This record gives sequence, C-alpha cells and structure tokens, in this order.
Amino acid sequence: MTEADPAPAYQRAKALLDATGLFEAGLRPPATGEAREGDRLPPRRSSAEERELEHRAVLAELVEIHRLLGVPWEPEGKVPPRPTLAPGSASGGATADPGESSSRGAESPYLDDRLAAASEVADALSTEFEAIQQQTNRLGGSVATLREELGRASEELAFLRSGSGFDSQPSQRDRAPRADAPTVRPTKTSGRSGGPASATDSGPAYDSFTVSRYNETVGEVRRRRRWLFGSTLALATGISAVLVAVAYLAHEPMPPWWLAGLPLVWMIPVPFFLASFVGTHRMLSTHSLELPEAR
Amino acid sequence: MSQPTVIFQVTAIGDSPHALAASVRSVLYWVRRTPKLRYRYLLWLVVEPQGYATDPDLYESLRREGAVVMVIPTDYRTRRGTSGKGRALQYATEERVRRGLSDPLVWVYHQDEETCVGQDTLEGISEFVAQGDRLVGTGVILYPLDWVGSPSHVQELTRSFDDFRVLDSMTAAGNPTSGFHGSHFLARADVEDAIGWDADGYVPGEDLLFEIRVRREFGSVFGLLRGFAYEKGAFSMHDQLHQRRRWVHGVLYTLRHSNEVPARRRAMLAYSALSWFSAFPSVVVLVASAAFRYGPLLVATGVFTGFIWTSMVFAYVEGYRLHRRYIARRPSLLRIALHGVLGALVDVAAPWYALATHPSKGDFIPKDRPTSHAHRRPTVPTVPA
Repeated sequence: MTEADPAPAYQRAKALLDATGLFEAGLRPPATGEAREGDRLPPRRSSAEERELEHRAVLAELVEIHRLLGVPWEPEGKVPPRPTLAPGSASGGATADPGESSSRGAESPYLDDRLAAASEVADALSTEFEAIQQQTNRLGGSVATLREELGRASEELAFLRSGSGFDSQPSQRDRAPRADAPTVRPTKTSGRSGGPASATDSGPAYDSFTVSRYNETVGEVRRRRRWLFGSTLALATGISAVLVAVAYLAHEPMPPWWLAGLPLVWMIPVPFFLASFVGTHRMLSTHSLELPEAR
Repeated sequence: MSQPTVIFQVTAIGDSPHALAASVRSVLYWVRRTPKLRYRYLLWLVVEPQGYATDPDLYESLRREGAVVMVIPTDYRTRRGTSGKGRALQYATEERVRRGLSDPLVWVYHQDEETCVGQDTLEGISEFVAQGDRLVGTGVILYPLDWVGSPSHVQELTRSFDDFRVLDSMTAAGNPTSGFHGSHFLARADVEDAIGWDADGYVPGEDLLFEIRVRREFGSVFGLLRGFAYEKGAFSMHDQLHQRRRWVHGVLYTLRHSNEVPARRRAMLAYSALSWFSAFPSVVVLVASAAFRYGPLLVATGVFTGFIWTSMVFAYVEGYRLHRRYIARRPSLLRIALHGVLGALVDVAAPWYALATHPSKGDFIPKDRPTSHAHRRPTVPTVPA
C-alpha cells in the first residue's frame, strides 16, 4: 500500500466530503511545497497521511449511507469505535502495517469498521421495524376491542329496548331518568372467570367473583346434598350407638338427682340442630341456586 | 314494567376506609362488566363524620369514581332518638324520601363496609328485582377476604354453611330459627322506608328488629337472593368475641325492650338464644363428666349427642368446601381442627360474656388489617377448583 497511488482515494473522499460538507471540517488537499499548479499527481504522502485520508473517505461514505437511509447524522458518531480484535486473528492486520501482513496483500484494515457501522444501522432499522410492528399489533388489538365493544353495546341496546325487563317505549320515568342514576355500562362479560386468581395477582381481589365460580360452588353443594344427608345420619347413629352402649355397659349407679340432671343441658339445643338440619336440606333440595351464566 | 333502580348502600362508621373502598370499587367494577342487568344503579356511601375524617382524600376519590358520599350531620337526630347504625340507616331512608327515591321501582342493597360484591351478586339482584314478587331478599355470605386460617376465620366457615338454614327459616312463615342478615340483603325502598330504622335509644341488633317489623307489617315477603356476598371475618378472637357480644345484645334487647315482637316470635327467639347459651354449660358438664358419674341418663342423652357432634363437624367441612375456590391459603387439617376448636370456644363463651357486660357501640370491629398496610389490596383469592 505504501507504493499505491493515493489519488483515487483522495478524489473519492473529496467528492463525498463535498457532498456532506465535511470537507470544510478539516480535509484539505495537502499544501506542501512540493505541490505545484498543474501537477497531475499530488505530492507523495507518508503512510500515516494516507491512512488518515482513507479513514476520512470511509467516514464520508458512512455519512452518505446515513443520509441515504434517512438516519440523522450525529457528529459524535463520526468515527465509530473500531472493534478490538485478538492478535493473530484473521483481521488482525487492522493494527499492523498492511504492507507487512501478507505477501499477497492485506484486506482493507477498515472493513471491520464498515461492517460495524453497517451492522449498527441494520440494528437500528430492525428496531424501528419491530417498533412499527408492535404499534401495528396494538392498533389491531384496539380495533378488535373497539369492534367487540360496539357489538356488545349493540346487544345491550337491543336488550334494553326489547322489553326484557323494561318497556320498549320508555315511560315518563325513563324519559326523565334520575339525574344521578347512570345506566349500567357493560364492558366485558366476565372477569377472571377463566382461571383462578391468586393473592399475588395485580388485579383487585373481587375480580374473580364470577357467576361461573358461584355456579360451580353451589352446584357442588347441591350435588353433595344426598351424600351429606346420608353421611350425617350414619355417622350420628354410629357415634350415638357407641355412647349409648358405653353408658349402658358401664352399669353406673344412679347419682343424686341434682347431678343426674346435669346432662339434660345437652338436650336443649337438640331441637334447634334438628330444625337446622331439616331446613338446610330443604333449602338445598327445593331451590335452584344456580344463576344463568353471563350472556 | 319500568326500569328499576338499585341503590347499593354501604352504611358504616367509616373508620375502616380501605375495606370500605374495596367494597365500593367492587360494585363499580362489576356493574361495568356485567351485561344485561335489568336495573340502573346508584352507589351510596353513608358514613359518620369521624369515619370520613380518617381519610378524606380516599372518600373524595370514591366520590369522583361515582359514589354518592353522605356524611351524616353531627346534629342529626331521629324522631325517636335512635343511635348507632340504626341512626345512619334511618338517615338514608329519609334521604331517599327527600330525593323522591322511595317507591316500588327502587331497591336498596345493603352492604357492610367490607361487603364486596361479585358478578354473581349483581346477577342475583337482577333476577330478584325482575321477579319482583318478594319485597326483601337475602343470600349466602362467604368470608374469603383476607382469610388466613386463624381461629376466628375458621369459625366463620360454619356461618356460610349455616346460611342455608337461615335462608330456609327466613323464607318460612314465622322465621322459626330466626334467620336474617345485617348485610347482603335487598329491600324494596318503599317497604324499607315505611318500616324505618328508628327506635328508642341504641339498638344493637337493628337488622333483627327490621326483619321482625317487616314480617309483622307485610307478612312472609322474604325471598332467596342468589349470588354470594364476600366479606371478611374478625381478625382476632378478641374481635370475634366483641362481634358475637353485639349479636347477643341485639337478641337480648329485642327480647327485653321491644314491644313490637309478637309473642310467638319472641318465644322462638328466646329458644334460639337459650340454645346458644346452653353451649357453655354443656362444655362444663362434659368436662365434669370425667369426675362425676351421671348414671343412666347418659343412655338417653347419648342418642342425640352423636347427631349434634356430627352436625357441628360437617358445618366446618361444608363451610370450607364453600370457600375453597375463593381462598388461597390452605392450612393443614390439624391446624384447621385446632383453630376450629378455639374459634368454637369463643362462640361458646360469647353469650355469657355479653350477659356480664353492657352493650357498646364500639363492638363494630375493625375491618382494615390491623397492621394496615394502607395501600395493600385485600388478599383474596382463589385456588383452583
């Protein structure tokens, strides 16, 4: 490279920097005493100068790429950080004298920089695309919700006007509703009815109190009623039989009357317990407790 | 048929503002998520000035969210001079009359400060209002809010299962086993306002008196209100004892002071109270049986003992089954059994404690967590079926 003619690089850099305005920022043709008007070639430069020149050319190309992609130019990003490569790696020549790296010539020592810059832009583009996609998805979700809510609102309106609870022709009361009595506004048919809530959920505690959960609970109680009825009687009979047998077999002598009467206190609540037992099972057997699921 | 209005009325002192806010917001949450309800709604919050003063910002935020916050004027007096919760309820009835809301198309759903509603509650109210053939309705209350399995919480499980007895008794002529609730009941506004809540002095059991008055004036007009209400049990055995004491004082007040109770109903009420009072001597006699020999009488009593024991145990089991979809914490069986015994002992002692002490307006127990993490939401939840 030291023997290469730097003119093409210089010309390319100048053209690009002219286009971007960076030329004025510091890139000038060399003004050595060897330069003369009409010289075909600029005077020969040192290796460091050539590298500087090419560096600026690359920078200018990056600026142009930025411009074409519509990404605003940020001066602090003029020189992308150069990737650090391990010594001896395939591109390790970036820090070595290119002329000495290989007898067949070295790859551009700035290829990594270019790739890094391009990769950065590609990443930025990808992020932008993802953001756009997310926004589009959210928008789609909002449209779907809107459509769903409009559908529900229509259903509710039809319900209210159908006379399912009210007159289809509003009465005087309806025409002049109480100023402070808003109508019920449904937004969803249910809360977290699809799954159990937990104490750590972020929603309010009561949002799991749904019709479906209620129906499951009372349905189970009603289904178990016969089992409960039979079990209570069987167990009560068993326990009582054992107690009576023990009391009978003990052959206890008759105690003084005041002592013997004490167990009568156990009999006081018996009618209440019997009434409760009958009442509970009557309620469970004669009343349907379930509610219609949210429509 | 015109469009009815349901007033969700939370009547409380208001010194458990966070429980009260959850209660209010449960209504607002579900009325916006339950389609095809057959009523308009209003949300009234009737609180005492000292309750409002505990957290004015919270009350104002509830007002902005849609609740009508009514602070009972300090100088408000009822005609007969009742006090306590009865005074607040009477204020609300008069307010309804003033606002033209005391008519057959308006219904009042009564909530305590911790009574949360669910979608099922709203649907149940809708069904009850649409049927319209009963004037007052009540249903089953669960106690899953903040449930941690303490003795007082385990004891509440039995109350939910007992509600089926309450409902059967309440819908029967004469209410033979005296069943009613002070919350989770729906009353037609014109009926409630005609009956009123006013009485001579402090009435510890204003709900019992109301039920008796309605039955006396309108007959057996009570119906089943489907859908649960969701409340929370006492946080401690001390609170549980005070809560039960208030109930007992309510019964004793009705028996001793109220001349509005028909003789038959008074007798039934007295027997119900006696059954409760008998629990403590029963335990004493049971313990004493280790030292004394009761003789042949045990043969007779033994016939029913098994039934009573079984009924009590199944009340816990079935009460737990009612709650298990709604509570997250599941203590071990041993712990539930132990806590059940402790909670039952408090209930056993409560009537005698009430007999030995005077009624107190301070028996309305706190419903905000004692450690009140003011901004922590109630932990309620549910477990898979």
